[in-house]
Amino acid sequence: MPSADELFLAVIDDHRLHPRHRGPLPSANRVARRDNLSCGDICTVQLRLDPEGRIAEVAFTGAGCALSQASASLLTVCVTGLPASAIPALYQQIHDTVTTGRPPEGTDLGDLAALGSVHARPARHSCALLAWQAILAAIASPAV
Amino acid sequence: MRIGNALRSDFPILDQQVNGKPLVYLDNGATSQKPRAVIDAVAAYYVHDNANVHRGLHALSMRATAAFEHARTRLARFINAADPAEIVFTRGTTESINLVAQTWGAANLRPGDVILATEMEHHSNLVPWQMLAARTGATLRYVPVTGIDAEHGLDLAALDQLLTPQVKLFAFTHISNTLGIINPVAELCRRARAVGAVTVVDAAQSIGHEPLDVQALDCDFLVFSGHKMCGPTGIGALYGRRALLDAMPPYEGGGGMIETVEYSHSTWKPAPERFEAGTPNIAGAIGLAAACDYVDAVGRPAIAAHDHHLGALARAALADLPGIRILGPRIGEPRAGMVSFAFEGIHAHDVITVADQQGVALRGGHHCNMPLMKKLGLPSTARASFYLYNTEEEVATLTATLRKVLKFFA
Repeated sequence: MPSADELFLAVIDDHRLHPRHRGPLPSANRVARRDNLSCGDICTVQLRLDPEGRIAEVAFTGAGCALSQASASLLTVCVTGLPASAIPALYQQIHDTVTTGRPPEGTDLGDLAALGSVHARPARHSCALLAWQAILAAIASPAV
Repeated sequence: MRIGNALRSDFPILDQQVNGKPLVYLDNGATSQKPRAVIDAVAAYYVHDNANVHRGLHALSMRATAAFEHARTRLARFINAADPAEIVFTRGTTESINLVAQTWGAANLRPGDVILATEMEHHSNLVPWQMLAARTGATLRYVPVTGIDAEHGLDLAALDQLLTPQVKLFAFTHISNTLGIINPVAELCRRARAVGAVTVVDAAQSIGHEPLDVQALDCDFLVFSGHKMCGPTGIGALYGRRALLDAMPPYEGGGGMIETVEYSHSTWKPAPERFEAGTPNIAGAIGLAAACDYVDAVGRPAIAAHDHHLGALARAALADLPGIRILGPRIGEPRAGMVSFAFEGIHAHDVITVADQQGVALRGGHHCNMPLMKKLGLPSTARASFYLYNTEEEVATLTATLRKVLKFFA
């Protein structure tokens, strides 16, 4: 049975080595960038909202530690198809998972639950949350 | 000679496992561990002598006062200050620098004056001068650091152009916490004095590591923290030349720093009490005196030789790792006991997290030196920094651990 840390490393490593939806998204109509000034991580999230307000496509660009970039890759997989209005609540669940070590009662976050392994390293919380802060800002931004 | 392995048992904290591996503590640039003698001195003060210092007429207060003032005398001897009154107790390096900026700086700087620092300063020896420049209208300039990996250190040729009679204060570090470069303090002080500039030497990384003699260096101010030299946190000192301290206005107002108080005005005690308002960190000062005793029993020439040896050993061993960039002096050049490095394509925080899983404590990030990292084109580096209890075996563990990091991120 692999430890939680090993599961975390496996998921993170998979997304680090094979990032999903990395690169520019020419059809995007929302964009936001967030920087982690203290360690130099950068993450830009671009997405296309369809007329019903669903996230039809999402992609990220950026640079930084494995955790910040893998978290962004995970994000793109998990939010595609969701209504933008669901993002703030999802952000809160991710935030709680990262800071407490497990998803809130009654939620199933799938692979995202791996982010809980970072809770014992408070200095890395901001790395795990960077992309999620970017998408929160992106859905709140005016259309481009 | 007792150094390295021979004195590890003096440091109880070193005998532990981290993540199932023996702790390899290589974050001494951030803070050192404490020997039993220091821990016991602090505990003994609280068990036997705790009372407030000064003006105390009862036995405990007299004992506490004697121990506190003994610590001042011990510290003066540690850096060869001419007079214990030249030692002002502070919370550490940062407060010492802010004290100079807010007292000497505010009283002596005018628009048109220049504050000179260097590009390798820690934020604590940079931001207070920025704030002082903004307050007084003085200009802040920097001695450049040269070399693609900052390997050449300070540009001493540029110093001639920069050290004009307008320079009123020159602040620089003895040992760079990011680069491991050892600056020629005595020469820098001499050149500053030639233009009438007052010198502030940041000894945060050299205190307890290198022999230090403020009279031989001929500096005006020297600042340091106790916790980087086996002492407690929250205690450090400002050394200031007596004539300068006596002419400086107070720092904080309060008890302990006054001679007389009326409702309309007050008068100040002479240095050092003038700069020590409020109840000081008595236990910290006593622990710091014990740290002076411990460090001197080992011997600072021996500690410096040991640090430099481990720094050089690590510098050479790490050079063989693929894709590594190492800052500071080249192989064969003098280096303090630390090595900062970055791997192509691997963020320093990832290096440190993987190293931590192997029980190896490193530090990473911008090392409180954001402008220098920007100049070198690095978001962050990882740093291994050594002290008297580290060993050659730990340098080998570091190298092996970094090979695992490379394998993991290959």
